[in-house]
Amino acid sequence: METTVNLPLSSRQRLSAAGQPMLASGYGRRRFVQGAGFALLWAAAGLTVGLLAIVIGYIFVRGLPGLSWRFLVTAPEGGLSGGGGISTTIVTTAYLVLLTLAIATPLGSGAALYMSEYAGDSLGLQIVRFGIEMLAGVPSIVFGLFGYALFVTRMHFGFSLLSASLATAALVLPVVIRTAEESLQAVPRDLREASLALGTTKWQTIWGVVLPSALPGMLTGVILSAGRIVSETAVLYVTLGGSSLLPRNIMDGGRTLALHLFYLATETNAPVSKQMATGVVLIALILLINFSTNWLGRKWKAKTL
Amino acid sequence: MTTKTLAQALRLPLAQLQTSPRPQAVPLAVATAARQSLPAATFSAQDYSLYYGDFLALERISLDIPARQITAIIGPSGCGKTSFLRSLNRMNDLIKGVRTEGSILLDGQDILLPGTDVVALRRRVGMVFQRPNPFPMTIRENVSYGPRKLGEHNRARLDEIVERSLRQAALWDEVKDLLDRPAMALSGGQQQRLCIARALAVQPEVLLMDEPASALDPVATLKIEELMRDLAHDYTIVVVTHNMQQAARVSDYTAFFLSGDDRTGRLVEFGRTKEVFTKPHDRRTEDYITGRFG
Repeated sequence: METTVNLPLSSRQRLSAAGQPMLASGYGRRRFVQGAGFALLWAAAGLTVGLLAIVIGYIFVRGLPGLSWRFLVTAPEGGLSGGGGISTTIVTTAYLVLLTLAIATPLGSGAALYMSEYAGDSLGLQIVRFGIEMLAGVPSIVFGLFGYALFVTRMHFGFSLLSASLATAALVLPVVIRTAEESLQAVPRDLREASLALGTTKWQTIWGVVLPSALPGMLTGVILSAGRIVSETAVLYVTLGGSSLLPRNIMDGGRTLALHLFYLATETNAPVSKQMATGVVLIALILLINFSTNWLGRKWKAKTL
Repeated sequence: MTTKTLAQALRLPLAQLQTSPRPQAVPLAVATAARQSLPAATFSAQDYSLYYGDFLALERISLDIPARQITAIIGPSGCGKTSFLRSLNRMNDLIKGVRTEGSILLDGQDILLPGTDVVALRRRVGMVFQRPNPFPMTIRENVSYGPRKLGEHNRARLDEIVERSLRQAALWDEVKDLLDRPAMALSGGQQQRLCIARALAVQPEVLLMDEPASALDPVATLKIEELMRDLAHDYTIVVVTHNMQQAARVSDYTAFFLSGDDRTGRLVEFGRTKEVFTKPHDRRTEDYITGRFG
């Protein structure tokens, strides 16, 4: 029997002596294979975590000395010097994230809702779904060029928060749609049927049961795209202008944290410590977003389960 | 609009809700009394056939389901019991490629006609599912969900409905202090009774139960069966069950479904439970209930 594997060595030998030699014979080799497998998996995991730690550690070690309260609350000087702090870029990042999500969330959730609940499984829908997959793989600079051609020039929005938000929204839409659709389809059929069987309409069922159940997952997609927006540079490089001043309305251009870092690293005489300090703030922001996703998800689960 | 569908439209229960005050607007004692005076709902299937695409799942079922009685549908797996049950509130509509022939009359009206308001039908014909499926909300919200969606927003009246429904489902004493706790925290048997309470909250006339106890332990099963006997005073109940002892214990009428090699379900025998189980007319019924197959 299989249970012999768990017995102490002596009794295992006794049992095999009692007429089960087959089991004992392959055991050493199987244990070796298992050990080697574990070792490989452990090495892969360890290497990944290690690399991550090195990257983040390096940036923190080199960037922390340049980081100060003053650095955070001072506006960048602009121009070639790379002097000053990063205050306006942090605020502009927040503006851009909020505006982009305000565009992408209703649009993406609506599209996902339609595809998951109403469209059925037609050929047209499969093509649309394939298109969304494709969009997710398009390099972000292509979205930037698209935004530049359409919003900045053709529609005369200029280099502005509006142009940049629209282009970035197009960039994150596939993520929003896909996570939303996945969470909608993960809602058990049981729940939909239970609601419909009470004499509610399909619309009421979607709003009353399906959406609330899918909301944590949909929200995860939205927050993940917030991280994507924070770290985006290519799209913004060709749509947001790059002014180091604080935008006063959505038709003003500006500079997000990531875009600022790009300028610092490529076009200014700023010292490396300043670039690294900006990188630290950027990484901290993204970590914060990811942790809040996890925290929110867990809190949500605790509430309903 | 033909005269028939017009007549149907006039009889819609939602319209009734607006014109005559349903018991949910009056105190509990009165409500129970009023309950008795509601029309007894009967089903009558006439030469009803059901197709999934090209596959004939049920063939020419003719069956009268009496009011305020428990009718059990028994038979081996895959004989179409559940398909038939889900025909009674048109739940099969959710499946692609479903087609029907014949008719199913609810109080004399064919619910299979194209003009039928399925939403209103399902309000009259409640359903309890095989696996307990409470919504991921609080206990209170679960029960008040149906009434809220039907337009009841008065807090006090909703509270009344919640209490009455939970009492009817024999769950009130166990959960009265936990109403704002998540429904998922309840045991499986309690969840199933919560689902029954949720179905009762919209004041249906018929209760369809799809193996309501198959996922529960024996004690919880017994509770559900007692509850079904209580509810049969007020409601027409149709229950699908695998469990022949359960059918014998709990039901007034029994329908035995069976499918042959073609996998098409047919009604073999229908009658008073006592007769079906003691003096079955059909040889196959006898073989099944004595455990020779199935």
